[in-house]
Amino acid sequence: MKQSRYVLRRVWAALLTTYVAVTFNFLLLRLMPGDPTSRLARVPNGTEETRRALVRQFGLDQPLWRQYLDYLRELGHGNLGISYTNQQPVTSQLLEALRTTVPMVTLGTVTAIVLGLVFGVVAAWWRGHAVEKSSTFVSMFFYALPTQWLGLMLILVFSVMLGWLPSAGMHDPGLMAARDIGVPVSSTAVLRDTATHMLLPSMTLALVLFGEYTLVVRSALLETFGEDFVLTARAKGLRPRVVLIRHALRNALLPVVTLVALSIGFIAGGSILVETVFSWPGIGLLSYDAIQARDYPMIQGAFLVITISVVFCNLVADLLYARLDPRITT
Amino acid sequence: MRHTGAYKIATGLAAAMVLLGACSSGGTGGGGSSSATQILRIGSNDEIDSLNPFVGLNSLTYSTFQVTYPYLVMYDDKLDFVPYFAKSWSTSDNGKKWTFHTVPGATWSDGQALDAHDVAWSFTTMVKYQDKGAGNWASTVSHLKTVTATDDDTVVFSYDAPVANVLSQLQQVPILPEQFWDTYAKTGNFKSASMTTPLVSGGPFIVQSYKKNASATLKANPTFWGTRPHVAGISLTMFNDDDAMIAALRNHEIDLIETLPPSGIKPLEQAGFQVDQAPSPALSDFIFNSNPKKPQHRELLDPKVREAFALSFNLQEMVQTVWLGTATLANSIVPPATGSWSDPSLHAAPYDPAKANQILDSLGYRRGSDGIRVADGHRMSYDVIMPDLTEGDRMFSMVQGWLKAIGVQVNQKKVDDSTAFDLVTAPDGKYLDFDLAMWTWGMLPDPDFALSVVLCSQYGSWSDTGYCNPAYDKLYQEQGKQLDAAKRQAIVYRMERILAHDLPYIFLGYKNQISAHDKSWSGFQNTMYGPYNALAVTSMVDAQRD
Repeated sequence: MKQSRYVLRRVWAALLTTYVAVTFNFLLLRLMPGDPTSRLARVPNGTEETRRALVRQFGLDQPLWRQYLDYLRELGHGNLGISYTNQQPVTSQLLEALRTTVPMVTLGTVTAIVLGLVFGVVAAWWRGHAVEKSSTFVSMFFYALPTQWLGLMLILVFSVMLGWLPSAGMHDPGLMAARDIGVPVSSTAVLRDTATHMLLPSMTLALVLFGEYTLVVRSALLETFGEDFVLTARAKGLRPRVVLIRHALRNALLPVVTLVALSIGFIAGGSILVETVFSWPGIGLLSYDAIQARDYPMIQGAFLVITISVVFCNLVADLLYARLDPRITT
Repeated sequence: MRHTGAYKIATGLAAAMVLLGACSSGGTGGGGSSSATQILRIGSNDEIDSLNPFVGLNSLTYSTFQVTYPYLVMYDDKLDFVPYFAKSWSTSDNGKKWTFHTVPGATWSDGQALDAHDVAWSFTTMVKYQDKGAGNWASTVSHLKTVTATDDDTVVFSYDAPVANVLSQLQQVPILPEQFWDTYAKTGNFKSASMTTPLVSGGPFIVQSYKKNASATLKANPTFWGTRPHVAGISLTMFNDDDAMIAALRNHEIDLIETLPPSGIKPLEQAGFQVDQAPSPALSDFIFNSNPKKPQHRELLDPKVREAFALSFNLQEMVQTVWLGTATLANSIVPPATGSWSDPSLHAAPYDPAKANQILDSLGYRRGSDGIRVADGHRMSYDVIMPDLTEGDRMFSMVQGWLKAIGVQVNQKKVDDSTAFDLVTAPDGKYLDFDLAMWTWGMLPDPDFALSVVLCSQYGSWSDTGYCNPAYDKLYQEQGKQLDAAKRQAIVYRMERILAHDLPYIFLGYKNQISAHDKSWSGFQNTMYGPYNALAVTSMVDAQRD
């Protein structure tokens, strides 16, 4: 009974959070200086008539409350609108960008989690040794690096100096153009090509993210090492590896669950910096362009996807937490 | 190239992730191996914002239209008009009637006839909907009344007044396939058209695929009516980071960079690539709010104060430091790259901070204890509105240093383009609030556009100065109707001199157009807009790997 009340409470909170976020997204965009037609004014062939027509077409001449109600109504029907920039449906463009973003960011995030676990365990296990210091130092070093700078350094080393990996984009331009104009290209070649292009952006993301996991895992493990049950396990004469993996690590993973859930939630948001440096045409880049152009429907759509993803993953984390540690439902 | 075990594991993981994405998108087909030797791979830091001619605005978009649609005329390397889809043309004595004879027997890529009727339909549609769905072509059909195909190969344009730059206007307008656009022309709702590739083409290339923010592939059009390109296709890759684009050229992932930043010249030349430069119409400027009704800081309206500012600017140093010598001193709103329309008698103000100080002293603007002058009871301290410019920070810090030396403080107000436009025009398009700004212009080969951005009628639109001078506006109307090139040039020069006197802008420099390519390629014509441009198809038709 307590558990189901807890679940209902969390679901209700998630729905409320989503609604509030959607409303904030709508209002904040319109409070920003500049409007979607501003950029047209300084482009050859963009005339005042064009601007006025666009203002009418976008409904920007309507009062704010009416725009808000229209937005909610369309949202209720699953319609995210038409992009102001290229006049194409937002939903299909977001889905396309998500398909591009999710594999790259997932690879980076999963790699970061694995690296963080390894470095965190190593740092905690060999506490006070040089191993701990170097493990923590390496994690913090990468954590502190600006993402775009690290990306450029990786391009310099792996692309320019060693020539191992491509510098940017999703595909080899020649390969894809050959396929597009009718030269037979195997699916395996395309798959290998995309995978190769994905490595540098994913690894950049992994390197800047794994430090956070390292620190959380390390401190959670150190805390667990001081618990009575770990002492008991040691007193029973269990091998150190068994004590670490079966007893200490399993209990130390609770805070890591939250962090992982949050990270997974942000996967849908992509990474603007990584996608910009590597010209990876995902949702991060799409959002950035949309903000620059004040493309309200596109920004609202992108933020909605990110909001729902983060709120949903948080909800899953809350429910998982309740399962792992029933004390929090009381 | 040898790969380690770790590399293989990483690639395997990445491949698994790609499969996840591919599964959800239906995967890609095809089989066998590829040969891409005849594909020209172009890298650009610009973006194709839309394939729809009624929506797209970016310069890469217009360059793509240039090679995929027919145009009546195009430019040669001297910026003279040469025949393209129009084999020849003539004009009536009063300049109101223009007759074009088009290439006979041409077809669109879908096999349908391409002739004078398509020209008439395209322009008639743009005239009809210029205030609505075809608004972005409105400036290219000004004064155009009717367009009639008198037979399959002849089309007549009738204007309600003489227009000085008819060919310049027509050079910009693509001829569109009626069979595709006819449905949308019934309502004028062109912007909602779904531009599914491959698109119907009447130029040397067909847009075969397009991915927003990423790439586009153009395939040589086998039914093209003109000189066919040497290459089988063009691959366009859009980069968001210049360093990654340069790395891609060095790594032979692309063959040509159409616009290279100055910092890329040396490393690419050292690595054995061909780097070409050409004067361009890209103009950087320092802006004074010139609206005489502005309530604050009215000393900035004084031409003497503006002259003092101009004398304090060491523009030669800016050219060397900011653009690494790849720019020229600017003297006019009409860049010399556009040909004979820029008045050669105009020169950038000499660097003379002593004289600048003298002028401000003579106006009674004494320095306060902090070294900043006081004008009419307030410190000469102003915000400079700065949109997102490529070399903006370096440009501003130099300007800030020069002005400090004459007792003027400026603070950078860095915002994005949309916000900058709002701040400059505030409140409500009245230009009352801002003092100073820095921005750039990309001008067209004909001077009409450059001259138009300071018209009174451009308040709330192209104007970024709040400048309004009825005498100047009258001259603008005159040059627009003057069919005699020499007489038009004289009027244009007078207008440039008015601006040089009133100083709504201090022109900082004209950036060169820089491109770089692999030396195994030849045939590129590095125009003011680069080899892949909206002036002509010549480069892309002539390009070939040696």
